[in-house]
Amino acid sequence: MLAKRIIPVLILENGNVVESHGFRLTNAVHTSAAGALRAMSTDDADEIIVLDVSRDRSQRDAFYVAFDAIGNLARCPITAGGWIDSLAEADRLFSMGADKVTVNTACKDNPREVRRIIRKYGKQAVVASVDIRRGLWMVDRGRRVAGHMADAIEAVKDCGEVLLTDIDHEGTALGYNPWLIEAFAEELPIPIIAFGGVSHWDHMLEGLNAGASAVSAANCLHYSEGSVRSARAWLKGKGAWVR
Amino acid sequence: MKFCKRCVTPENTRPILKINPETGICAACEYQEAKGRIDWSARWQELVDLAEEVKARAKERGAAFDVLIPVSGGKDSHFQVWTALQLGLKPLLCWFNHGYNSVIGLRNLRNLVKKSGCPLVHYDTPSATARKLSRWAILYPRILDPTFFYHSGIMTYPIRVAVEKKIPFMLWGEEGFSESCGLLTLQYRQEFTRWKRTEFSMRGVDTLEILEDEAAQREGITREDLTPYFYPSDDEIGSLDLQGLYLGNFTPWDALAQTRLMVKEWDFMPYDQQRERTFSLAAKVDDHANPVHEWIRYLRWGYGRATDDACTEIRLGRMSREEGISMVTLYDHQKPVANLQYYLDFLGLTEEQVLEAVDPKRDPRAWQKDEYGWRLMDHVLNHVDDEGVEAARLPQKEGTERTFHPANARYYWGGIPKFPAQLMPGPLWTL
Repeated sequence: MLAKRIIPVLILENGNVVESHGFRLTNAVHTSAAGALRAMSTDDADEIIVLDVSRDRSQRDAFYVAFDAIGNLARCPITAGGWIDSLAEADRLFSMGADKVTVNTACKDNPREVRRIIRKYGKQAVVASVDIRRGLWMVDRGRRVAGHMADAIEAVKDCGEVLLTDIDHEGTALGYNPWLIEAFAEELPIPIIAFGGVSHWDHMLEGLNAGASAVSAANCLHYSEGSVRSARAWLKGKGAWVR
Repeated sequence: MKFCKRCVTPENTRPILKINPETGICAACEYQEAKGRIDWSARWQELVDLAEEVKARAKERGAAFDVLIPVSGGKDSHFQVWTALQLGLKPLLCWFNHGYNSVIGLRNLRNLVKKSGCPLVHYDTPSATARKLSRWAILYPRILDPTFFYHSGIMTYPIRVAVEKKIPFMLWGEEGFSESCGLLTLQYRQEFTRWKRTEFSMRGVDTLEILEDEAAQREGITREDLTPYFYPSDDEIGSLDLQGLYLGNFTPWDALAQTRLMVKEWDFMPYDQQRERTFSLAAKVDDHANPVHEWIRYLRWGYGRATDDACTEIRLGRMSREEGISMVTLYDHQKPVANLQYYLDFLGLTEEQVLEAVDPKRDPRAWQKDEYGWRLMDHVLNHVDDEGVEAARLPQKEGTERTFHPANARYYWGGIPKFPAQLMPGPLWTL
């Protein structure tokens, strides 16, 4: 059996690391993205996901600068996400050192470009990011309804992985939505990365038990020393199959 | 420049303060508001349970102390130690002595040790070291702060002591960056972390970098000078399972109520004369370098200590935004004449040298230079009637809960003396 992965997520707005609570960006955390990386002890992470959640594209360059700094520092595969709507944008991030990209709104608005990215880089390099709110599939940073959950499952089945978020759980500190993870795991043969709501490592175990292949978290990792390392030690202690 | 619609914070603070684009309210105000939604009795129970666990663990190891409390002797230190004793813990107090102590600060520290009966370990900075480090830091472009060395020491030395004495639990006071800038939220338990110490308290300059810096070498700063600033290794901290928690996560932090309590219970003494840079008489009274640090902050970012203190009061509903703005207008620009000269003499520098170092690092959003000199580009006075201010206003507290109620004359300088000095409440000179 493949080991389960632990994936810290860095949420960036205009190049600054922020916390997100139900997709509201409430507070800026670090002075730099590189600082955040060091703080989370990401040497112990299996992968890192870096998401640009800025509300518009006006300061996209700040994201590139931050992403570049992260790329220089990280010692594990990096997934870049946010505002990737074309092959050209994906090309740019891959050339900056991304190992995978996530696509979210493009799955709805521009599936042709998603297929082009998959054709060029392989499906293992494309993670579909799916945001669900009360059974509805949301796109564009959770602002627009794109269809039902079933539509999302249909739209992302050709991607390599799914980064699955329940918007109502994200930033609540109450844990993942295990029913949602179960529903996706049942329908989709591809790996699922659970995201949104972790405040205790227990929540990660719940996610793994619900059928996720990887667990990820963002906000809570800023709060303690060597957080990724201690999450790994805790999960190992509970008998979870982690590296 | 944008200002918060509820308090008086500008958008260019450090750590970055996010202003909610929909409401115009800043993250620190939201942090304060979130306190109202928290079940504090459950949080307190959490701390009580944790204290029991800590006691049991210490007993198992046969340790003399349960908890390490970093103290300066101020109101927060008093409250931390007092609370720890209420919880039945056996604290060891730890003080980083930077040498820039005020008379009242030393009196309060002695008072704390006497009243609590807890032992105190301390590191005393030799004045030659303090001079070298301050001289370097006030001119170093990434820092520009004479108090750099003691912010570093306060955030590093206690961890060294904890590791050395094998005390795995530290109790800090409030999480200051969250209270003033909304750095983190209250949803998760905030722990003391190395990144906050390095990125903010030390301005991103880690101790080894100081050794390697040429200007620092010219000042003659040696490894010995920097001993208390080296952070223990991850292994040392990991093997001890060291955890530093903030008391502000378990009680709704309210500085005025806590100061009142400490004055009553332990005879804590606030300052009793008007101060140069703020109206608060209880905060930051233990050192006399702080006004210089605050003044440089004003020169760089356009706001100072009075802004911080006014914001705290506004967020708690004890002061209206308009009163806050008048406090900012009264205090923020004041040059701490006496303190500044004292430091310039001590450091062997001139004011011109300091300004020369500070000028290139002024935030262009706050300051622009024209033919008349540096001009403050925006002030909260320009934002008294901003759209949305009324909607963001908090319900105001009444009576003795108002900041400038005569009953609070010991804690806040009201600007105009409200009654003759002989009628001032409480014993002011008990030294």
